[in-house]
Amino acid sequence: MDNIIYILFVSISVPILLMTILVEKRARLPLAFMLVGIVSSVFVSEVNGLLRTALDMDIYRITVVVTPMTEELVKALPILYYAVVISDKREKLFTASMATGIGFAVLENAFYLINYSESFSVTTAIIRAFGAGLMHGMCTLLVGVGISFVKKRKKLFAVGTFGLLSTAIVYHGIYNILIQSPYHMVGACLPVATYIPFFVWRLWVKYKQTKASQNKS
Amino acid sequence: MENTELLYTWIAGLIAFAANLISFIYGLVHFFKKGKPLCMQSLTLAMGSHALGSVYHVCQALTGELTVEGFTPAYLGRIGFFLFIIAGSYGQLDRIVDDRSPAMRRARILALAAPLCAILLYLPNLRAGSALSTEITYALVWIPALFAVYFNLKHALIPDLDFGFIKAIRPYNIMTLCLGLSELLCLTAWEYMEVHFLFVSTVLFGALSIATMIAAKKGVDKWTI
Repeated sequence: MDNIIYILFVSISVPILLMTILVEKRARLPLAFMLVGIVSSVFVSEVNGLLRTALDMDIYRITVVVTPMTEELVKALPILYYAVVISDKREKLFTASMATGIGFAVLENAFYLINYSESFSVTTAIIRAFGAGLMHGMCTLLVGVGISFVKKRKKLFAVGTFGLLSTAIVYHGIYNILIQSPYHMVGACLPVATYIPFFVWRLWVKYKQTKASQNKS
Repeated sequence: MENTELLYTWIAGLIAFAANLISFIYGLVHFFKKGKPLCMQSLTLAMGSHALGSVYHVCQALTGELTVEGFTPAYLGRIGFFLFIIAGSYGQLDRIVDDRSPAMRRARILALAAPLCAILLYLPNLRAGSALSTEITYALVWIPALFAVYFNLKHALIPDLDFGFIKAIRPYNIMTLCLGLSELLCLTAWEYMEVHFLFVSTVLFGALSIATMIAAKKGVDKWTI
């Protein structure tokens, strides 16, 4: 079962790809970026495997130092490319980045489920879904939303991009530290705790937009 | 690592985090408005970046898995801290305050004392006998720090010929210079795992980060451009 990640990749991505071709143009963006996330996950698994052999580190150090960097960089690259070359509209970047993170998490969770199926229960599945699943989404979302701000401030663009990537990496690292510690429940709640402010902010922005359009009409 | 060391590093990290968080929120409230200078927004982001690095160390110390040797994501927060300061000092201020005229030459030359001082602070780290990976990691933090302290001292020394705002933001530049150097001191203390020195330098860093934000606010209020 060495190539299980590829089996999962084919079985999950092909149906999504076929659906992406058929659906309306508006729905294509999140689906396409979910596929990007899934591809990133496969790519990162190979990179992490190579680094683990090359760096000769124990699994704890790999998960708190190396994987946050490789995973966040690989997830962020398509978003940065999209923001710089195609569109820096906040709405689109919001959707694209969250979809990339979630796509990444879908494959990663499926991989964990198969590899550690004997130790998995509904509770661990819920923790994994709200923890690692949401964490990947939040990290990429942070880069996507942040890039829409720094792109408009030319002088801050390079440093700002670095800052966003470091924020995502440190956030991921903190999650990995906590989830493997006696404070694992704090770690599991961390992504939800950051998701709620984002959710409230989105509601607030939509409320303001609706109010503005009502005032206009 | 011993429990006392872990406790001290945990408290030190917590102090740095709390001070950075206060500074970051202060900056968000005062500098993220229309018409406020970009360099102060950059300074605010520098505080946020350092806060993230500190919280990573706090979590590591809390779980008892503190890694002193080699690279950790916490250093990204520190590198980002200096890069954001450079973005503000070089990216925005330098173009305005230095017109490349001979009158500024003295300040430009004297300002080299700051990176020299930073290099002197790096030397004890080479004698600490740490792993090469740690030395490289420290060098990655020190390189942007050299530029950051250079521009801070330069802007503190530069004569105020036309505008009047150079004088207004002089305390901010002096404070940022001290802040940068105190951060380098913290790193040296960290490398030697000298807990009392680490504790004192972190308290100094925390106090300076809040003082820098206050000096920046006062400077911006006087800024007439």
